Amino acid sequence: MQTRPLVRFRGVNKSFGALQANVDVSFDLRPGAILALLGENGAGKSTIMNVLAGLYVPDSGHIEVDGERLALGSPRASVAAGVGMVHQQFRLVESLSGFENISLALHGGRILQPRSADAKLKALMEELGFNIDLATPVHAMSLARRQQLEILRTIAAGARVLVLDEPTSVLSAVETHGLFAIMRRIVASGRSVILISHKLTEVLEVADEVVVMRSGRVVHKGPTAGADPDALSRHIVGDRSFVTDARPERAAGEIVLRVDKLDVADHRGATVVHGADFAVRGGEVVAILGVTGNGQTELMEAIGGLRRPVSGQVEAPRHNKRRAFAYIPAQHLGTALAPGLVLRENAILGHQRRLGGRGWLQRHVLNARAGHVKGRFGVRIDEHEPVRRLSGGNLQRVVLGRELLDDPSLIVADYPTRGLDVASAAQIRSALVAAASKGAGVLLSSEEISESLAIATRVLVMHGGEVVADLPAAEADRERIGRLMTRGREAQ
Amino acid sequence: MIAIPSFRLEPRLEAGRPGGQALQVLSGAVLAFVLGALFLIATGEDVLVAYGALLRGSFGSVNALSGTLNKAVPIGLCALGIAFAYRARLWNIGAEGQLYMGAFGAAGVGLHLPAETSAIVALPLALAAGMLAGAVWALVAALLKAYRGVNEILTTLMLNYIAILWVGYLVNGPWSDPLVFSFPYSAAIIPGAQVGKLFFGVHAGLVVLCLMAVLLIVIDRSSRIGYELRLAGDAPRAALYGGINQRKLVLIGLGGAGLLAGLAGAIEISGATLRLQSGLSPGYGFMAILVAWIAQGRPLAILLASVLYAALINGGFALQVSGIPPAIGTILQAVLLLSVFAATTFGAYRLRRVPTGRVAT
Amino acid sequence: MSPDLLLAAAIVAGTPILFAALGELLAERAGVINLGLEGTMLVGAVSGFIVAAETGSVWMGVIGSALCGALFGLAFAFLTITLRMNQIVTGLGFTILGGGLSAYFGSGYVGQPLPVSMARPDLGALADVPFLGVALFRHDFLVYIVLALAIGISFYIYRTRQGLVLRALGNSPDVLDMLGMNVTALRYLYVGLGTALAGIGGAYLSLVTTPTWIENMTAGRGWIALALVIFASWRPLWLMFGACLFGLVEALRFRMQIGESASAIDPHFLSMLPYAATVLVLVLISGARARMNAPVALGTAYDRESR
Repeated sequence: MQTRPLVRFRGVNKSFGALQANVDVSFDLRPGAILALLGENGAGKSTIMNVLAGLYVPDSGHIEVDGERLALGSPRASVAAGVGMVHQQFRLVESLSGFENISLALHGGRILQPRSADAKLKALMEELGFNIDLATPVHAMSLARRQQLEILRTIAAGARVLVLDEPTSVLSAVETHGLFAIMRRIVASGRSVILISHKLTEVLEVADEVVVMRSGRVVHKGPTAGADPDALSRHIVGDRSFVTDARPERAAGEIVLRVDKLDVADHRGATVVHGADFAVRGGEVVAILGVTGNGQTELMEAIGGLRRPVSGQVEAPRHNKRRAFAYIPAQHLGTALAPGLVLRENAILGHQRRLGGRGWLQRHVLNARAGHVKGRFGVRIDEHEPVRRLSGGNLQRVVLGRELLDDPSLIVADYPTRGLDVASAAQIRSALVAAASKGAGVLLSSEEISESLAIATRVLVMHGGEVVADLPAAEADRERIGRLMTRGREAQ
Repeated sequence: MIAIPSFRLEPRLEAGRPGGQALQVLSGAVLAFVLGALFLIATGEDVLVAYGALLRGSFGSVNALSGTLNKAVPIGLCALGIAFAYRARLWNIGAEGQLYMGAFGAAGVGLHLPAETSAIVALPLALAAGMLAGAVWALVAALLKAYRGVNEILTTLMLNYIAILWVGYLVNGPWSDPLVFSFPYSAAIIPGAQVGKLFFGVHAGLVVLCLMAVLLIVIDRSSRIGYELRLAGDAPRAALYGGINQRKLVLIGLGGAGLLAGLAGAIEISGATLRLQSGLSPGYGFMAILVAWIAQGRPLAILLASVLYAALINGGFALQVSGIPPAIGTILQAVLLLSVFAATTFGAYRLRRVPTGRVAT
Repeated sequence: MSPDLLLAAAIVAGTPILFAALGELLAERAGVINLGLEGTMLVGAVSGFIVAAETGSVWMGVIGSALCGALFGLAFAFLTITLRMNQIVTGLGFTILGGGLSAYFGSGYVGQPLPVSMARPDLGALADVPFLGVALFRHDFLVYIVLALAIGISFYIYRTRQGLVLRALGNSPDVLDMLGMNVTALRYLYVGLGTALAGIGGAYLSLVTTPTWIENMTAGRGWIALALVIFASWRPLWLMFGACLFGLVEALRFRMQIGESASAIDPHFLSMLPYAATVLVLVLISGARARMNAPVALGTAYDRESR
């Protein structure tokens, strides 16, 4: 028997400038179902959900809830239709108690503030299996509790369609299973859940149906029961054009980076890297592969000194206890580059204490470095202009140009080809290979398998914050790595 | 869906040209001039007489001019310090207190050295003691900020009053001049600790002010610490990336600000009042915050703005002579400041018409 | 001086500070720091005196001071909330503006005695209770009004729906915005209410304490009120206690200055106490901001799209 879908997406298109974030997105959500929206970062999952929540107005297409057309671009209309979204960044007032946070959303017409949960709220908590002490202030709650509080608030406010954006990224394994149990109880009452995720294993565990998105399009939809995991990984990762670059021709040399039993927490305090333990030698290009959000960025930040590890150690080239190796972080503007400072000044960022001059910055040194940074990858900008005016690709080139300037013995690069066109990406890859051929060790994080396989001498695969495989390039084929990226450790 | 045109302020991404910023300040000044004139007309005062008196009282005679320049010294020095700390987005609301501590330090030297001590020894000692005292006072707030994360706006504000009361205690108690017991004054400092006059009653503090402005320009352009302060102010995370010790930066930023405010106090003692007294400053340290803000932290603009601000204060005294309440001068001061703030804030944003309001149907 | 008289003097000295501090508390809870408090009090003091002198009614004076204070505060709100000008420098500018405006409009009234005075409620037998009668039960109406306000505002903040919204406003305006509340309107409201209270605080000085208009008669009480708000870590009942303490310091210092009681402590050190205590409180709460109510978004203009 076919029940009427609770939500139907009908040919939704949404573009941001030249970028097509959603292309003809259509799928249905059954009442009482957990639907997983699966795909890499930038696949368009969040965009379509923001359209549902009324935060974005689509270019064309529409959405039906319960057979009624949803007024688009109105968060209020979406909430009234029963759509509730729990964002990755919690929207809670930390100084208030759990109950007060829920009350803010519920008790609009009251004069006196109720002091504790009423019978209805208690019954809802009972029904959904929440065990939250609502009198505790939010800042004293664990991340898992805060998430439950948000879910409870959303449902108490009348949500029938609950959208969870990457909910497990802040949770431990035990907490994740607790959340799954809650999700099942939520749908048991006829509500539906849309789970945004890029983790195949958890999707297969909890979801009834799966919709895979890639580059803004729906590339697969179907039930999870009996789904072929390998086929799903291929849908997620796609069939990218194979890149043929030369690998460095050099025997591995001395160890230049040693990562020793490293645990790293993210900005919310959740441990997202567990016991990373590996080394990189001169002349090697070691690629870390993983779907976004599996701890690679935090690992790279801990190595680069942006993040203090929870435990463990990093041994890398230092100069007066400061970083003395190249580090290209995932974010350029605001981290690797100061937006309001001019190119000349950004050309020495991080090197300012290694240029001599006893506390003074010498003009000729600055000018020379700015010239080299601009020249290395052909960036055209006035040296006296703030770098915030540069395009993304040029920002990337400035950072690379600066970091590769002093022939560093170690290069740590977090997805340096992100968002670049084919030619620029190739230029950057060959620069990394050239550095390795001259004896530098390269640690490269990327989401693109073929790109990494083209230049890497070794591949580390990360999944769920752990390095689940360490393979010589010869043994790494795309299928195997795709499986490891999406499903974790291979059965021994 | 109904289209409702609405407006919102959004930050301009492109940095304005220096000429554009000068234009903003100028348009603010014009606005203030007009608002001031409207106020004068509304209250029945003669606009021309009032503005004429202001001008005469500030620049119209040798006496007026030297008074204006002398008042610009403490304001300008404090403002340079405030701008220095603000390079790293640190607020120094405590310049007033640091100025008093600087005066205390300089007076301590100037009162207690033997009377015949030569200026080569006494003057540098007095100024150094003032700078040190100002810096130490600022470091109280800086240490609390660096190691306990205590908001420096609030601590520097509170420390002002403690410093002012401390000087009040000294001049009423242990350091009070036995000869003028009815006034809260100390005795005069020794001649060796006094900075000389340059010309027409303008004391040499003006030279110090100009030197400090030049020093700040040099620090901005060519020193590593100036670079690191600006970097941390522009992008704290980039400072972390660049391996900068942020605690040290807080100490240097606020300490430097205190040093300059302390110098302002020391010069006020050794050039203007020649003794420690309560009511030493009519709020120079607070005015300096406004001056630094108007000048958008640029050293040369601070020089100019502090002279103009001092002119307003000085000109205010002349109003009374022309039969206009001196309070008008204070009001015009505030109107000028607020108009220029508004003009520069407006310049940093752009009024954009938002085509459609998001409205539920 | 007998302790009951001293306590009574402390309460009277603390009253204008408590009015202003309650007002500042409302604004800061809403996320707006108003450093123009001293100027607002002066505006209140002069407008209260003028209205009372011209109408012959102290109550009209109180109302006038509240209205003028609020008007002055709404101008501040327009610049900082709508035009998003920096709250610190704008506040300092308003301190100067308030000083100038009050001096100008008050120039014809300086030193004039007030023909009328604030009434004192007859509390009957209570006023004759030993010690407490003098200390607590022989004050004017405004003293009891401000104490009631402190308790009322405490009740409002912790027990009412709108109080809950106010507690969220200075911490997470984005959450309120998401829930469909108008952050800008709420901030205008609390700044306006707060500056009305600060205006009454100023009027208390010119109508009751002195009672006459003198230029700059607030003499730093606005700044003390600012310190007091931090000292009380944004809690109205603590504010009441703190205002008594600060008032006690002022009363003691006054007695010392007129030489009524000799003390080993110099009055200057006594006057430092409130500020030193405030710094100490700031240090103590630095480790536990959220728990101690400090509004996280204090001093920042709210901009939906910058988040």
